[in-house]
Amino acid sequence: MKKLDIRTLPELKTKVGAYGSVKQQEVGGVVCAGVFIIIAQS
Amino acid sequence: MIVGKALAGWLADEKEQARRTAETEDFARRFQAIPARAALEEGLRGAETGGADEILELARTFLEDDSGIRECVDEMIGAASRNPYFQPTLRTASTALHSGLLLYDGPRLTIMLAVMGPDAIAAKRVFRQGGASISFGGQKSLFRFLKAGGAVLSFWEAPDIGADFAGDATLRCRLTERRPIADGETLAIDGARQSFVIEHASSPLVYLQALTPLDAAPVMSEFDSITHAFAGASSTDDAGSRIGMMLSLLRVMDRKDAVPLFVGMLAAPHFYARWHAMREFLALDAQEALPHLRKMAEADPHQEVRAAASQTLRAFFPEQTAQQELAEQCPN
Repeated sequence: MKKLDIRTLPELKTKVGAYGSVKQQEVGGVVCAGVFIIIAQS
Repeated sequence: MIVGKALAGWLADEKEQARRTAETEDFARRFQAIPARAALEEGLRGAETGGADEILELARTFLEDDSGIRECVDEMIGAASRNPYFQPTLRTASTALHSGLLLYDGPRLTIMLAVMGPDAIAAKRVFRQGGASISFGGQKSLFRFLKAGGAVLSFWEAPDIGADFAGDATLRCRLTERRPIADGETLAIDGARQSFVIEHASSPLVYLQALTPLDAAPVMSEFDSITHAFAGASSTDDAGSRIGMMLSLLRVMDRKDAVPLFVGMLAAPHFYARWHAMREFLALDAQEALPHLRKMAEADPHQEVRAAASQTLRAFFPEQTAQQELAEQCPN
């Protein structure tokens, strides 16, 4: 059976993080209660 | 915080603890029976197949029912005044910026009552380190500012984020308006293309936020606050992200018996979830994945997924791909 190393497989040009993750801090709005709930529970 | 003799006495008195627990359970029943909240529940039951707009219209009726909201708050204040150990039977949703309680908490709708202090807003600006973003949550929501706190908001627009979204450094968000908000004002925000930033507040903001995951954009997007250029994206699909992580775990565990799960996720609604499932599938069992990879290269609705699948075919299955192409060109 052929097995491929996942690190060698191409990724999409558009990188999308998991739900609730952010790259940069939010500047000061009210974005998403759902994300807030995740943060509150973690 | 309750300390000292009172707490010691309460801890030693099982009957008292049971009585207080019963009071909390009573609160939960009374809270659910508040007419405005019960009407919301009934409306949602009658709109089981409704989309985001229908659900938010039901939420709007609740948000704009001042006496209903007051009844919710009075119920909590009354319970807390009778019982020093009372804790609302509602989920909290708080950050360093705000404290919130979910007055309604369902899979299609959450309604949060929250307070945000001007000090926290100022501190966030002063002590922030590194880059900052204007975020577009991807979901549709309604805000009603019960107390606007003298806040000035800037309103932002981004290119509409649909199923064919492609993150591109040339994408920009733009400022559409900057203005103070008024007590009692309601804002409808489509997080696929609209956002706001609280620029300043002089006293605490008290607001309600109704949020639905229905009809959400595939991603929450971030734009740099200085350049306004696209900075990053993350999923709006909580369950989908968890399933994606489970696929990674199954692949690491070499669970070939889970192949049907990987096949199922190749039909996920979001492009990045489909490609994540395919990468994991290829690393688990490339031969099983190959026919699905071919199909993806030909027919996936997202251009980037088709391109990545084609690239994978050429790089890892050159012979099979050449044979396939030949067979298609010369069917007889």
